[in-house]
Amino acid sequence: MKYTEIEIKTILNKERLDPNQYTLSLLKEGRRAGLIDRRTVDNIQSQIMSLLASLIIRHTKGESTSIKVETAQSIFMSMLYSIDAWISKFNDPEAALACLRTHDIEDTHKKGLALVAACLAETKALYREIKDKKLNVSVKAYHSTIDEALPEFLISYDEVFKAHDTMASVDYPLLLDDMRVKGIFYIKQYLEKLKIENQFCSLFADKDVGKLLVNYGKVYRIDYREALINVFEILITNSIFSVLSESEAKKLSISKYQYALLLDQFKGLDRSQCSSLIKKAFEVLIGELHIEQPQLKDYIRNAASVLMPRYLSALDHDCLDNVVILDDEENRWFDIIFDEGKSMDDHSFRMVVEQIIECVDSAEKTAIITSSIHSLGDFIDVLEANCLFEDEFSALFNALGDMELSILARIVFIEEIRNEPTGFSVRNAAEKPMERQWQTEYARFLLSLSADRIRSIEQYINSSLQETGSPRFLQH
Amino acid sequence: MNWLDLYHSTGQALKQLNINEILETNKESIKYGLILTAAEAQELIEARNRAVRSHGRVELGIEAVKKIIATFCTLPYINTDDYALTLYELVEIFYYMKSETEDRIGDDELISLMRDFFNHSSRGSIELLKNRELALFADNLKRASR
Repeated sequence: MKYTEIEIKTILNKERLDPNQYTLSLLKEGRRAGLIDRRTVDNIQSQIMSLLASLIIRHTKGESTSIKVETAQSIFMSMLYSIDAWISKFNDPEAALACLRTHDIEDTHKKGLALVAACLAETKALYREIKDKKLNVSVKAYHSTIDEALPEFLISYDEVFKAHDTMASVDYPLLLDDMRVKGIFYIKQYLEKLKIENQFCSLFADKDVGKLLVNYGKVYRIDYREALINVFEILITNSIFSVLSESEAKKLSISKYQYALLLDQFKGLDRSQCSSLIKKAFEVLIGELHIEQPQLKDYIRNAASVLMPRYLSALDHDCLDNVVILDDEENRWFDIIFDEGKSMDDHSFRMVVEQIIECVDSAEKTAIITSSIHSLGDFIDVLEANCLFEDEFSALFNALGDMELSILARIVFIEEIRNEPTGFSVRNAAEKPMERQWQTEYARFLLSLSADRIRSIEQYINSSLQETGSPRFLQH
Repeated sequence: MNWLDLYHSTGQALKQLNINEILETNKESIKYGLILTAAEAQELIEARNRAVRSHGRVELGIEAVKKIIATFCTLPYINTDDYALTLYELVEIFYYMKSETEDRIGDDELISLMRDFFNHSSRGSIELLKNRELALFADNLKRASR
C-alpha cells in the first residue's frame, strides 16, 4: 500500500498539466510529485519575475518603471507562451521539467521566442498559399476571414509582448477546429486545416458546389452567403451520400429518386450496421476521388468520426433529408425577396448611436432608428450597442411589421428553425433562455403578441427567403 | 497565486531595503533643509503601494519615488513642515497621471511636467496642480489622441 502511495507521488500526472499554462502547471505538478524542490521552484519563479521586469522595461522603452496591471499580465502570458513553446518540444513532461530545473529561464525564453517567430514565418507562407488558391464560393465569412481577418492578424501579431493573443475575427468555421490552442500556433493549425479542407473542396466543379450551397440555404431557410457554414462539411456529406445512393463521389447533386434508394439502403439496419456502411462509403470516397495526400486522408477519416453521430442521429429520427441536401430543381421560386440594405459607415453609425443614447423618450428613440437605419446588419448592431433599455425594446419591436419580425426570428431562433423546419413554433422557441438582452426582450415581445400575429410571423418564417431586391429592412 | 503581486513589495526585507533607499535621499534634500524620518519614509512606501494598487498598476521598484524626491526637494515651494505630506500626495498624483495619460508619458517627462506646473502656474498648490493643470493636460492629451 505504502509503495503505491510513493509511486503515485513520484509520477507526474499528465492530466493535471494544462497545455495552455504548461510551465506553471508543470512546476505545480512537479512539486506535488516531489520531482522538484521548493528552493528550485523559488529560484525559477524569481528568474521568471526578473525576465518579466526586463520585458516590462523593454515594453516601455525604458521610459517607465510601471505599467497597467492588464499590460503586465499580458506580457507575463506572452513570456510564458514562449517558454511553453520551448518546453513543449520535449517528448515527456519529466524531460520538460528537467529542462526548467537545469536551464536558465532567460535562455529558455529566447529559444521559445525563436520557435514562435519561426512559426509566424511559416504561417505567413502558408497564408500566401491559401490566398492564392481560394475557393470560388460566395460565402462571405470565408472571404472576409482570408482577405481581412488573417492578414490583419499576421501584420499586427506581436510575438514578444502578445504572443498568446489570438485576437482575430476568424469567422469562417472549420469542421475540426481546436480552439484550445492559442496565439500563432492556433492560427497556423487553423490554416493547415483550412488548406486541407480547400484541397478537398476544389475536387468538385464550382458549378456543382454553388448549386449545392443554394439548395442548402433553401433547406435551412437561410441566406447561405451570410451564414457561418463550413463548406467542407456540406460537400463531404453530399458526396458520402452520393456514394451510398449508388452514384459517384464526385457528384454532389442527389435527386429525390436517389434519396429513396438511400433510405432503402439503411432500411432494417441497426446503428452499428448503418455506421459501418457509412464508414465504408468514406473509404470509397477516398478511392473514387483519388485522394493520395496522407493529411487529407487523415482529415477525412477524422471528419467521419465527427460527422457519424450526426448522420446516425438523423437516421434514428427519420430526418436524413436535413443532412443530405436534395437537388431542388422544381422549387426555385422564393416567397420573400429581401434586400439586407446598405450598411452605414462606422462614423455615421456612431453618430446615430450617440443620438439614441442622448435621447430619453422611447418613441423618439424608435423614430431615430426607423428613420436612420436601413440595413439589417446596422439594426442588429443598434440592438447590441447598449443604447436601449427594457421598454424601449418593445417600443421598437412594436414599430416593425410581421415580415421584419420574422427576419429577426430567423436570426434569434436559427437553431430551432433548423431543428424543426416544418413544425417550428414561435411560442416554444421564445420561452427558451436567450444569450443577449435584445434577444430576451424580443422573445418577451413575441410572447405578448396575439395568436393571429404569431401565426402570421410563423408563416413568414416558413416561407423561403432570398436576400436581394426589395423590400429593404425598415423601409416602410 | 497571482505572481504579479510579487511586485507589490510586501516582503519585510524588501520593504526595509526600500526605506533605506528613501532615507538615502536625505543626503541631498538636507541641503534644502528637508529631511524624512524613518517613519515618514515607511509611510511614503505605503503611499506608493496604495497609489500603485488603486490605479491598477504594476511597479518594478521605487525609482520613480526617488526621482520625485530628487526633483521636488530643490523647489522653493516645498516646506520643511509638510515635506513628507507633500511627497505622499505627489506620489499619488504621479500614478494617477500615469493612468490618466494612458502611459503615453514617460516617468521623467511626467515628473518634469509636474515640477514645472507646481513651480509656476500652480504656485506650489498641490490642489491646483492635480485638479487644474494636470487635469487639463490629461484632457488635452486624450482629445488629441481621438
